[in-house]
Amino acid sequence: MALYAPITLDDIRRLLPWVPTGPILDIGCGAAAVTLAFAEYGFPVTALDVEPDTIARCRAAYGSLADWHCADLRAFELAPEYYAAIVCLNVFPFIPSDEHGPLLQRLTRALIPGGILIFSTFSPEDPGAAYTMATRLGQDIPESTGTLTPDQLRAALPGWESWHFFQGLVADDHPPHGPHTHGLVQTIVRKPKASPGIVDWAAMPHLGAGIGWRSVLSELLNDPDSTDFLEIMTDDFTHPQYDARLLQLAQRYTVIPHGVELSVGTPGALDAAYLSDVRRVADRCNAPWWSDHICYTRSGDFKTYSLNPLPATEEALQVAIANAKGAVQQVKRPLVLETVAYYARSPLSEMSDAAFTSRLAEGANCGILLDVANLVGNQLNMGLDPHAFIDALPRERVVQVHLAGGRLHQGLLFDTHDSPVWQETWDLLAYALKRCDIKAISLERDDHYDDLRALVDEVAKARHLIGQRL
Amino acid sequence: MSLAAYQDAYLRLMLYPRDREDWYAGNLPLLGLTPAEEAALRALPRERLEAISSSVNLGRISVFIATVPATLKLLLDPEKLAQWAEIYAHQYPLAGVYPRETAMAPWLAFLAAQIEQPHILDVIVYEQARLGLSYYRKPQPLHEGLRLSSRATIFVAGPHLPQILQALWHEQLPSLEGPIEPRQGYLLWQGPQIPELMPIHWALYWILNRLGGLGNWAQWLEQLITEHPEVEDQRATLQAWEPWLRTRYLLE
Repeated sequence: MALYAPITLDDIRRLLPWVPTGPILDIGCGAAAVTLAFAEYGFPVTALDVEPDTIARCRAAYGSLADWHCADLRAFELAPEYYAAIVCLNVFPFIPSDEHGPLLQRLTRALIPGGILIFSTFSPEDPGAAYTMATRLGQDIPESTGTLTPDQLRAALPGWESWHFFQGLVADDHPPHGPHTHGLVQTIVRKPKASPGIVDWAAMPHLGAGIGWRSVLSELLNDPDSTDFLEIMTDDFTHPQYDARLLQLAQRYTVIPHGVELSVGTPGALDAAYLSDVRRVADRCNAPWWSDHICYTRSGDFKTYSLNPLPATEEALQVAIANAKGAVQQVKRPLVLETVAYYARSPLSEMSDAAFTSRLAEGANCGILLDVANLVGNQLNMGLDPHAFIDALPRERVVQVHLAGGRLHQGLLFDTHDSPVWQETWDLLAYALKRCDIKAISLERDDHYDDLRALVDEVAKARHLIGQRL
Repeated sequence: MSLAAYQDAYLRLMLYPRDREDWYAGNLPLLGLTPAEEAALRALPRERLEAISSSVNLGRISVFIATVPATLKLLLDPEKLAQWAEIYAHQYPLAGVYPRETAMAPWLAFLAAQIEQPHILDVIVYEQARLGLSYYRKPQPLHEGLRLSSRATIFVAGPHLPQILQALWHEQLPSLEGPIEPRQGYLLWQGPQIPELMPIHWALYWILNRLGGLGNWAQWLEQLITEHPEVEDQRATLQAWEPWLRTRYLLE
């Protein structure tokens, strides 16, 4: 029966990048078209249908692509906050109307915060409302077809973000009725998700030693021991076309999204569209935190794609605190901000860089990503003392460290991520590990991939160092 | 302090370090900076600014090269591509590649302006058409009138393009000796993974080119036949395209 219109199977397929990572429940799976759309994309799916023959056919045809259950929704246990999406298309007409409210509550409770409900049922204007299509659980006595009004459906989903709402008559044509109409009420909604409150940084998970994932490094992942976690460039995955690949990675590893375009130091409005993309990527990774840089990459007139350090002034600090707070509100996950490389330090600075970083972390409730390679560069380029910088940071806020090799260019050490980690950087990592509660170390490499074994060895060395401390 | 103006000025200086003296004289007093901010900007050593600018540009050049679509990379001489990337980076200091769907178009247009081989130009047209396509999307509100789906587009290129792309998709160098005329309309649509390319009759192209959320298929078909009576005998075929496209969700 083509009862999905105007939510089509195509609509559901095109929505998949916005479905958070987690198990999917397809209620009344029928011929399993929706189940397969999710499963082939990479989601684990539980599919329910009350018809034994239907489930037997699906199991025979599609085997382990989904977890098949012959069950009535009303008798199926739904764990709270478990499913990333629940699909329930035209199941409710077969359930008496007075059971709809409690059942909708069970469905909404079973979704994780940020989870998606794809729902369709008959409205009272459906011709079938005059028939007796519904039954009580375990009984065979036909009752009036279950219907929901649009207002009843909306009332059951207070505060949910509506992506699609339809009510009206649609044409259908199937035996034994031939051409006929249905009155449908349909919705696609996202369950509200609170922004993180006060983050307990000490309770963040220990991730070990990882690597910045780049597509050329894919073969490293054949060896599951090569990395403990992955750090992705958020900006490489903001286009939904790359989401299925990210889902694969996120199902094998803890993945931390690391971006370059937040521009936390730019006065004025945050880029809401960009942050919406970041939220989708962070949801896909189900990441304990996401990260960006203490810098600005754009101003009113210019966008440089470089990480430009902020003057350590009170004004810049307040701008960065407000932006970081706003970003966390939109992405709805804890934010970790990275110390950047300096090639010119503003004489306007009113406080030390460590004081600026610490006050930003405390004021915006953020973590700190300490790039020890940048500290080595800042020492060489600017004469800044990396040990004093580390000593002045709040130790529980330094949750992650970056390692990389840089390049000398016109007398300056640039943060180019294209060479082995310098010994000075390893030494500084060891120093930081003694003083900070570091949960994760990641190695960044953006060019010169000729010796992948050496990269893996560097990750192993970082793992050894953090392992001694964990 | 006027942080926004200060940042604007700093980025301007970093991107154009060589004309800093002229710019200081003409613009710095107009920006509303404090005397301390002005002094801080003037104190930036030119050599240091040039070193930063040069390093930033080296990074940009490598990104421009890396993001050229694989099809074009096979067709272009790597040394020439590197030269073009360097020229582009210097000529357009604000150009980037993210977000790809908008930022890549000027870079591809720049490459097209350097190239004379018509078959390579056709491949660029194809890659430019792909930039705007997106299969995945959140559900959109229903709208009146007919338009091509956001996953589909049309463009015009030479008749040899499908064979060239077939070779490139198999990482083989295609023959660039085929015909370049007559020009051909193509329908391109993005599936979940791969794009689909289909040559289409000019009359179908005419209709698709006019869909923009206004009117319906029948209206545009009548308009076409009024303007081009020679396709009157194609009416049934042209009518049949609408359900074909709808079945594949290429109209919305």
